[in-house]
Amino acid sequence: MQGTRPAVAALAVVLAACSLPDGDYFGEVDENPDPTHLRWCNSGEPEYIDTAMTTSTTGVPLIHIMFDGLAEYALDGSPKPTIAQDWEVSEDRRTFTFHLRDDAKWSNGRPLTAHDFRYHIARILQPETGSRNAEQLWRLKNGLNFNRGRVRLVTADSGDFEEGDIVEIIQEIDPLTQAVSELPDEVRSLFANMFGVGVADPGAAIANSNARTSSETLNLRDLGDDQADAYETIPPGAEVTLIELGGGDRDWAYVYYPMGGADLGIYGWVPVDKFDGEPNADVEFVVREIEPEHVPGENLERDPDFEPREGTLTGSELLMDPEVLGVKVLDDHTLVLETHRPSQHIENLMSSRIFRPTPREAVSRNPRRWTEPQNIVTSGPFHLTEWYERDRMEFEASPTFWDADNIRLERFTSYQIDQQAAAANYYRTGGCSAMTSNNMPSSFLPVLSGDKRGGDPYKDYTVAPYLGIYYMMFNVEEFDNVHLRRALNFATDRTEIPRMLHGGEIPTSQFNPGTPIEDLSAEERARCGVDEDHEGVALLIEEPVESCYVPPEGLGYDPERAQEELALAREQMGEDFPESFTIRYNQGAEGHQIIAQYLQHEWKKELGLDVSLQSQEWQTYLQSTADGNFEVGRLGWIGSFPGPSEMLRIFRCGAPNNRTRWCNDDFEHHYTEGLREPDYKKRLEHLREAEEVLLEDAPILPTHVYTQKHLQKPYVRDLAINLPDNVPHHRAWIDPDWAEREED
Amino acid sequence: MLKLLINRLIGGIFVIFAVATFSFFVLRAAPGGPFDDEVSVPEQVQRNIEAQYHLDEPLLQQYGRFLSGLVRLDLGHSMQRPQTVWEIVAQSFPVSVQLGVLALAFATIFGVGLGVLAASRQNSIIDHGAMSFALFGISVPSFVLGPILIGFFSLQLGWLPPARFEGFSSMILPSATLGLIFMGIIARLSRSGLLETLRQDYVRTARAKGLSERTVVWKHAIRLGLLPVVTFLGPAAAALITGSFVVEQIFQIPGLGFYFVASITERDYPVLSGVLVFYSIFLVALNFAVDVAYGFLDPRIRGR
Repeated sequence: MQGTRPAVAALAVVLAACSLPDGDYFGEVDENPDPTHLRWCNSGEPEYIDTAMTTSTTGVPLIHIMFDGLAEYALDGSPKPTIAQDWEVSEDRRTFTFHLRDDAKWSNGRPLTAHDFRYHIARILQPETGSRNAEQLWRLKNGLNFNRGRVRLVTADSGDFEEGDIVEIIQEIDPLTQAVSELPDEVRSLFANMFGVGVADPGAAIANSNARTSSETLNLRDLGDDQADAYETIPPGAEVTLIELGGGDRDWAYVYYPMGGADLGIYGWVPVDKFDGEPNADVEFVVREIEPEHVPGENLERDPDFEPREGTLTGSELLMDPEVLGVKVLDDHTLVLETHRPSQHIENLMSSRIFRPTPREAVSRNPRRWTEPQNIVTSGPFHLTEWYERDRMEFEASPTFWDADNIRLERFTSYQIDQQAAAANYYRTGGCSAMTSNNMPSSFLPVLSGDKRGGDPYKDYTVAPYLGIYYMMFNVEEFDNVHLRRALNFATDRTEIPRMLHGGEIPTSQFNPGTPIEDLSAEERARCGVDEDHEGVALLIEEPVESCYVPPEGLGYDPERAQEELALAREQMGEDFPESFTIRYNQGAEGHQIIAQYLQHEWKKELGLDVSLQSQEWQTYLQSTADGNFEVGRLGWIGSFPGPSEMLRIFRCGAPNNRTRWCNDDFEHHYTEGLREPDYKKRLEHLREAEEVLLEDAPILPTHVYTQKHLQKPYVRDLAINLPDNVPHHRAWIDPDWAEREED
Repeated sequence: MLKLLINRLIGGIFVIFAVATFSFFVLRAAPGGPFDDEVSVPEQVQRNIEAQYHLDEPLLQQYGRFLSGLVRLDLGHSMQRPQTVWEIVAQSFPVSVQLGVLALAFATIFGVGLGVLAASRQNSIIDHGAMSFALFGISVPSFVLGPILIGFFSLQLGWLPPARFEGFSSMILPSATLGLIFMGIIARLSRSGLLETLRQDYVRTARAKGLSERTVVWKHAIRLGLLPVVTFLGPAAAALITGSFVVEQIFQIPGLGFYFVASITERDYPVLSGVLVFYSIFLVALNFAVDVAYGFLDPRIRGR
């Protein structure tokens, strides 16, 4: 697919060039568009449309129109409260109390309450769910340890511990490991090497202390239902996992049974007293008390005076229970979130999928296939009615949505077209009225932008800055000399890039993306404290306080300083100086190759270095850069909301996306100072210093701010174009009188 | 005969087993895994996800699990989408069949037409024209032809949709793209077959009787002349149905070929193995049916 795509796209554009639309619009324009129906070209088939599971750009827009949450997106891309009517934040920014509206409903008529939020958050964090969205919730009290499957509630007084204590499991006492550990060292290392036995692995699976069995048949049902209403039965003796306790007196158990099949497993409620077996009751665990206030997690200092109790407890005395999480339900309409350190981002995350609940009754029955049209229960403005795999999905406005009166569209169709040329052609011939951003082949850009036609861009084509940065990265284990990295930065004239790529890219030497300062209004410039001559970009921030972040200028094009740095590098590195090296990039987009070739050319011209190029298939590229098997590579990073910590966090020591292997104490210092700071504006200053360190030490070479390229028919209104590309598709409408308005 | 069929059956099972084993190991040997992404997930989340699909187990244990599933014809669960491999096959294979059958119909009708036209006017300009066109069909790959047809019939003339598979008009361009190679082959086969037949004695007799050339060709020669084409249709049908992935990509057709390609780039191990196993079962079954048919048609094989 990756291989044929550029060829197909190139051919398509050659042919398209023979028959360019000569009017003002690239796409066919309908004089009398249907005002009730928006046909939208998505960029491919979403793998999931489950808010707990979805991470893809093809799935996220669709879950946003189907699932309501604490907030939706406003037209400017910032969160706009929906189910959360108002909220209070504690002084230390660690407790957030949300008051929920009482008229939110699921499409099956059931009220959507604080319990749904709690269920959804716990579901994402359950290790059994395998959600890729869990990391954002690690900030909750005990979130990380819960996701690791390592936090337990003590259920009985035992030794130093009392019922209700919260403990962390250090290790399982496994008789085999125990026996091996008592062997002489040589023998033990033999065992460890050959069989992997006796090695401490903090992430290894441990015995399931929540395993339960019953000698009776279990009838899975909704909470409080009669046995007769059961939708599934589990044979006697089968092992289930207890997920949570519920009901008035915690006398009902919500269990998971891995029964295989398309859903992998099934969930359901049964009365607790049905259980008479606990397979791992006697397994012993070494546990440590968790500090009640300071819950362990990243970047958290422990109270130096606190000495946690340690001890050994058995499986029967421990329960993995979502009660320990920092998410509490005070009543049906009050939800409390507790984070383990001051959190600046809860407001920004309110519209995220982590706070858009999933319906337990549907998930229980079909954990994987509950999003199919015959099973799905939704809460948002649109409801899924038909799904033709890899072709299209049909949505209808949902009458149960609390704000249904303000939704103007009646139907929404998403065409899942993953071939960019096919999508652009489909738009052009009138199949869809708008496309998801950046879904046209790069070879179409010179035509769309007017560069190839010697004229203006088509009127239905829009280019806007995007909250993403394209950068080259150095493997600092290979390029360990800072002057070398700086020389390469100074030697690169980024202003050529938009002329090569034709996508309106914004050349930059800064890492944080934003809007070019020259494009800001006078008012916005005042907010940022810059004048119009200031070069570079600025990032306007709405939450948690209205503010602005202006990144440091970085190492822009300066041939003289490039020579100085090069001389220093040669002097310091001596024989180790890399006269020739390789830039790696991934296949799949022409732009990567164009940029790599440009750098090859520039670095030869400016610095006399011999650079070779190597392209790799995407998965292979990810693997080799993750393994540090590269000298210079490329990557992009897209922020999910405006704020520098979202961007900078990838360069923390050992962060999973830090492929440069760069680890800098000054950067860590400024960054953690920023995280600890409850005052947001002061926090921005710390983060700016962190970015300054990053740019000056140059483990990276930012080249340009990504742009988003949109094709929208002129009668499509309010299909917002904003910096984070957070589009509330359900707020769009079709203007049947567009032609008259156009003339005005 | 029975012995032959049993041999074929055992051979077929061995082929399926070999394909399954090969596909199991070869994709796992490729760098990267199904859950590697540009945005790396934290190690613990990665482990949680991998545990769901038993990727945390030793490779041999996974292989054993895979084989025991295979014996029960359980091809497993996709690692990228909430579906079993059988569900993916069940929903997408009929689309590939539909496309393949249409392409075959296209190839047969136009191929035979061209071949007959060329043979009946051998060495004329029509013959050369038809055979050049057939050669064009054989030599132009579908990823070139598809965009050319789209550019002309969809973008320039606006007659046919450029993508998707909905309604008859949208099926014309993909079937033509897919079928053109086979049209070329069939045209050449039917031309040479017919030419050979036209030199036969009985045709000469028919001509000598004073029958018109049209009657000679269409009534007498064509039956024998097209036998090579009929023999070719079996393998052609199999190739068209299982080999449509490039055309499915170009025209955004939700057939099985897409999942075949996507499963490689996404490292979706069960789907790749499952699709390959399914294809091999399909082809083995088709060959088996051909063997049986030949057995009935040809007494020499039956006797063995």
